[in-house]
Amino acid sequence: MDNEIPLPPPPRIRHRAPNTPTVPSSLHKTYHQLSRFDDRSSQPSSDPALFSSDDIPASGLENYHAPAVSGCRKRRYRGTWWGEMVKDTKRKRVDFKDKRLVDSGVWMGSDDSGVDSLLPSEDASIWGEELLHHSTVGRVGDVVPGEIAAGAQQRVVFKKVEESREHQLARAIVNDCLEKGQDSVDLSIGGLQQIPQGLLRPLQHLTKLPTVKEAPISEDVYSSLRPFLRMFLAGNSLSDVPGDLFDLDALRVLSLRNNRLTEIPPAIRKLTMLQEVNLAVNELRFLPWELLWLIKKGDLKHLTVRPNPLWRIDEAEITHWFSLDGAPATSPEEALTLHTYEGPAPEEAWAPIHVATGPVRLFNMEGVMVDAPPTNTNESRVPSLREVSLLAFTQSPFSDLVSDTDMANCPGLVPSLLRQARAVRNGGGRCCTVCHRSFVIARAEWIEWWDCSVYENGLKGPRSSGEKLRPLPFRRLGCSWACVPDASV
Amino acid sequence: MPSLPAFRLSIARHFSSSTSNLTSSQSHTHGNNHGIHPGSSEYVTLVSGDGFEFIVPRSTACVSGTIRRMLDPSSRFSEAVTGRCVLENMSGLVLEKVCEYLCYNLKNKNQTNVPDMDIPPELCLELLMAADYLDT
Amino acid sequence: MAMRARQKIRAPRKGLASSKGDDFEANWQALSGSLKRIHTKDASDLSFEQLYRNAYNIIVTMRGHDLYERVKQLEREWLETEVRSWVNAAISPSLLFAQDALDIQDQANERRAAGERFLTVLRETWEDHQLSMGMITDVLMYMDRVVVADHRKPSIYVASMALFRDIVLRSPVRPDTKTTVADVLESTVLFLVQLERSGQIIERPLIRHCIYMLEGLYETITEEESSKLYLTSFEPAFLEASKTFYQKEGQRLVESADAATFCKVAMERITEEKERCASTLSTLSESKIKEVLDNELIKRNIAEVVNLEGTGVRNMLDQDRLDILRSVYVLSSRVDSKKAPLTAVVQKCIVDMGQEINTLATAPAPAPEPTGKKAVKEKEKPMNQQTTSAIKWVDDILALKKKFDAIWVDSFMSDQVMQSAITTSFSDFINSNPRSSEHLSLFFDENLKKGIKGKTDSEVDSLLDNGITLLRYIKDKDLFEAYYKKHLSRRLLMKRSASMDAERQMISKMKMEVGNQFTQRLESMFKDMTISEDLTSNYKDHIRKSASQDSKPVDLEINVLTSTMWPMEIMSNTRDEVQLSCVFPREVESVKQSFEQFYLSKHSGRKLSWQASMGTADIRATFQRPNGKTQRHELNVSTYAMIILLLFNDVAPGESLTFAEIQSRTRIPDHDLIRNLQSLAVAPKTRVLKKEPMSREVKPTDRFFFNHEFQSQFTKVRIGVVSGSANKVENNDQRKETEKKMNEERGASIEAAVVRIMKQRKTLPHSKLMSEVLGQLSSRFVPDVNMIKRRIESLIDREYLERVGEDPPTYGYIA
Repeated sequence: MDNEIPLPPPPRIRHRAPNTPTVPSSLHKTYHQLSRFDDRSSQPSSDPALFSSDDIPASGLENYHAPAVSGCRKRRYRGTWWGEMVKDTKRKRVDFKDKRLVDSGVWMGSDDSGVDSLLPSEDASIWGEELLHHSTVGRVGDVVPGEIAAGAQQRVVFKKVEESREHQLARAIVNDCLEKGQDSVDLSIGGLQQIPQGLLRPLQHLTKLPTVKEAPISEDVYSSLRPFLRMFLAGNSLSDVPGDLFDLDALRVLSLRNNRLTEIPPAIRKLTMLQEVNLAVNELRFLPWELLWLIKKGDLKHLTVRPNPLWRIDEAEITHWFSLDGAPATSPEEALTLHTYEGPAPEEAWAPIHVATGPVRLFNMEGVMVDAPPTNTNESRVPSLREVSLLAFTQSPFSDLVSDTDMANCPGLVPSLLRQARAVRNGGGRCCTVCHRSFVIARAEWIEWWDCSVYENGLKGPRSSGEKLRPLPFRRLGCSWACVPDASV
Repeated sequence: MPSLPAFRLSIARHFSSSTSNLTSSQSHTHGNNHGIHPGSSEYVTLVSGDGFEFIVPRSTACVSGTIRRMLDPSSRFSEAVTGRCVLENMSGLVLEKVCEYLCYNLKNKNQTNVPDMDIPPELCLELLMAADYLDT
Repeated sequence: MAMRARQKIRAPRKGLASSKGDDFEANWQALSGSLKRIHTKDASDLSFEQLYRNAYNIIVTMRGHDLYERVKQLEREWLETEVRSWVNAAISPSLLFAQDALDIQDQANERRAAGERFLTVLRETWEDHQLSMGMITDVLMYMDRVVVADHRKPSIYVASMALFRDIVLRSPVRPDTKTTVADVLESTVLFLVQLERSGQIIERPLIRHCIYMLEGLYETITEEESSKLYLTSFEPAFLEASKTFYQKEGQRLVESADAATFCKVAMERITEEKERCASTLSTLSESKIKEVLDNELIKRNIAEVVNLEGTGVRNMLDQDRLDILRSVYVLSSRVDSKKAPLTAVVQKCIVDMGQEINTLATAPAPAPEPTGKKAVKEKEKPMNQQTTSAIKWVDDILALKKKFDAIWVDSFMSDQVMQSAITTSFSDFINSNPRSSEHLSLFFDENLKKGIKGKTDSEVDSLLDNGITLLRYIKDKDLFEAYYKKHLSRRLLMKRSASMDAERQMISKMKMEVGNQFTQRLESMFKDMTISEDLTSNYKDHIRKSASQDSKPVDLEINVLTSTMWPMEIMSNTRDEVQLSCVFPREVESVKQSFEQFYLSKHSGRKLSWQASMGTADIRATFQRPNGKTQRHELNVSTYAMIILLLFNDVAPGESLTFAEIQSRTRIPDHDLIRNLQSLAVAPKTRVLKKEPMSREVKPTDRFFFNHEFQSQFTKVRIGVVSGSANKVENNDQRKETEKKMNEERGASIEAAVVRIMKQRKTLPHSKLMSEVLGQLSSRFVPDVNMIKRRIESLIDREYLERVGEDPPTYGYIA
């Protein structure tokens, strides 16, 4: 690690203004507004990959043959490659633009085939529009209103014939990657408001091209064809994460920096190969508990979440404070301070630390919050019949065929349940964080506060002795009233 | 799906009459059951709109919030008196699955590791509506 | 699974609703008819499923809110047309107009009957409404789910309860009046409660059920606990009525009854109200009505009750009426954690009783100082009486203490506040007796000498404990120590102690009670005794070894006392300036010298000074009877007496010695000589000497003869020394002496404390120095502030301290 020379603090705004002139000003504003949540302002929340060595054509191959090591190497290069990289990406972007202008028709054609034929009659993007359309009528409540106003009208008229430019561009990039075996997919600053359905699915099968002629022939060359898949969606206007993304099980690096995300779907847990995640500059109030799971059980080593309007522990309601050994802490101060140690850092100076747990909120079978659950309820783990049915619905490959009209015609409270089910399905599904059962309607929800500062650092070093902890809020969901904190399976 | 045979076994006795009903399509056996299963007895009869009868333990039936209120002895509705619930708007096919679910729920009430219950996807919407109706 | 997966999801057939789902009116018709039948208790052939399905059909056709409003309307009509008129019909005019008709028996009875009739109807109405609304809510549960999910409307059950509240309870009873049903309910219940308070039996369950109704209804639809009708309307009225009632009752009781009755009634009222809350009204009111009772009945009156002439606490204490005292205590402690009136009376009482004991002990005022001129006999008697009365004083206090301990445990429930009050009072009156330390020490002396004979260990133990308890109260512990030391030294040297075990036990008890420092000197007295025993036996060995050429060895038993630890002044009576040591007879002198030699060879550099006044001697005397016979007696006498008697060995029979001769030959101090001669020649049973002239007084010219006619039936005769050897109450002179001595000692203690403090602090303002000195010394005695000031002055004069500041006055330590 001797290469880790201190660097001048990187500028907060990436110098990519020429491409997207509108973004910086608004970004600038947001950033400063949020920066009170970011107590490590000296650390850039921007995507390190852009400055990494990966994009240097000459060093490309060597970096991939051993994924575990490569993670370290990349960090090593991060700062020093700063100046050059800006130029580099710019050049790439110009390339794509040229291609699109010349061959746009061709890409459109492959577009359709890429969408996969599970939906023969309907274009995925059109479904989305329909959803939007409904929302204007008041059915779907969770679409950002601004988006409707800005995009819906124009596109409803226009889109059936041709995709928006942003989508076309995105498809072009994806296809380019597929064709070239390029495993770093850069869709950042693409002005995307949503990812068209089916866009990302082909990347599941991305294979790297062997570059036999360049490299000296060695055994390593052949093993390196497994892609080190990286996905950059930074700087778009995404308000939710497409479920497709979570099927890219080879994904190692994911950046969703600078979007409008309010929630990260729990399905992120499926990306077990993830090593680096950047969620900075979004509208997140909390993180999914599954991210913590990826840190503890998976491969996640570098988690960038600040700045975000995350809940702060000093303003949150806490029911239990924990000391380091998991026993109840006597005071918040005790829970929020790492004990002092001497000599080499103990294990707990590295690991995530459970600091506190918030109150549990319970929901009834319809997902409506109940204030005080009846005291004599047997806290059974059996899913309700509604839950069983909804789960079957989400897991059926035909569930998309049920038209919205059919759904709306169902009696009483059923349509809202179906809408929730569909949203869960689109988000990639949910798993109980206690008993691991797949479920649709959460019955319990609570916040756990964990300090992950080591991982926010990218495992650079342990916490120092007696350090003040800065826990992050992770939301946990339970599938039954028995799946609550301290419930062991 | 190992859970399914176990379930069948456990309620085979109570299903004896209803399975025959299922094969012989519709039959009407109102009279019989009155004598055998009076209102407060251990078993109640659930009847589908198309005439299939399912005799299940009272506790099983009461997993459903709607049926529990229906059978509440303090209210003195006719269902509570006779122990016979006619669910007019439910088909035999759906009600069978519902009964299966009620048994599944009761059986696993105190389990920590609850097995999955298998639901034919084609029935899932109808079951969802039945669940909504029966509050379960 | 694979097969199934291919199957498409079956689109539901138009929900579970029947095809004629839009037919709202038809469904409502069916439903509303049935709901009415539920209200009229005619539901047994209604099918729940059918009603539920009707409601469901209406709701799935998006008419849920219409249904909700219709149901509400139906309930409103039902309550307005049917229920209200039933309830109103049950209200008879007597309920409306009768006010406070308690006094007129007939009216009261009538009102009571009417009231119970009304309550019965109201209760039935309410319970019916609850039951049918429960059923209707069940049937309409699907509606509730939809409506509640909206969070816009309360459930139909809550809504219908609010309707009941407004339509039934809050509507005027008659069109021409403002009185509502709720008002009538309130006044009726209060009336019945009043009846019960005046001793009649009422139908509690009936009232309880009507209260349930008030507890089940709320002011708001959100149903917060605090908005229960019971709490918002009934309870305040109830508390107000109770307040008035108890104000009157308290006044009546204080004016007409004695303290015992008051306590009894109050205690009964407390249980009664508690029970009323549990069985008639609501437990919600329990703490509040308790407060009313405490404030109105008890707090207002307790001081007066406690001080009631003739029946108050004073009387109870005198009469040992522990049960009533307990009531008084319980009542007091409810309203006042300090129980001020009670403690005041108890303290007063203790101090009064204590003063009585004090006066009794000092009543036979000490006879005017005898000054050695009156007859010895006359002098002795009042002294003995005083000793007895001192011991009686202690016994009386112990008895008083025992009495109050019992009261404290039984009646005051071992309350800490009471305990400290009692302790303070005891300490006050005990310390108000200037002789308390001496009395107490005498008590110990008496008991350790005689009192514990024939007692078991545990009895001795408790006896000593009792004494120790008194010691706890005594403030001037140094004075006690002085007396105890004096008395102890006599016991030890004269071997008057009944049991050395008991002595040691006593010391360890005092150590626990007062501290190590206090008993240090006492312990070293014991140590001296032990060492002396060893010394004596060593000396005997020494004599045996160094060849007994002496034909008549004198058996010497010696106590070597560390002079600082023992109260030398009381032993040597060194009131006169220079005291030459007395002349020992030859035999004794040689023994004395031989011991001195022996002792100083072991401990060089020490000085032995002989205290003849404290010793005793056994001498064998031969009496030549006129008839020629000789009679031998062994005489146990004091050392001085031994010296005197040995003089007569050299005096021919018939010869005599004058007082002056004896004095010059022995150099025994006058005072001791007189007393010893008195006991040898005057005391009737021990006249070993004859005196001429035979009188009580001893004059320098008196002559003394050896009395050969001495008669005694015992071979061994013990000749005590007249006065001085026994521990008795001091006379005034002695007391002055002790006090003077005490003050000197205290002065030294104070000086030591001041120097100790100043050495540590270097400079200190006057007030702080005072408080620290007081703090350090308080365990031994309460120093006089003036004395401290004087001592500080003296220290400044001697240049231990200096003044370093005037405002505030500050001292500095001179190193």
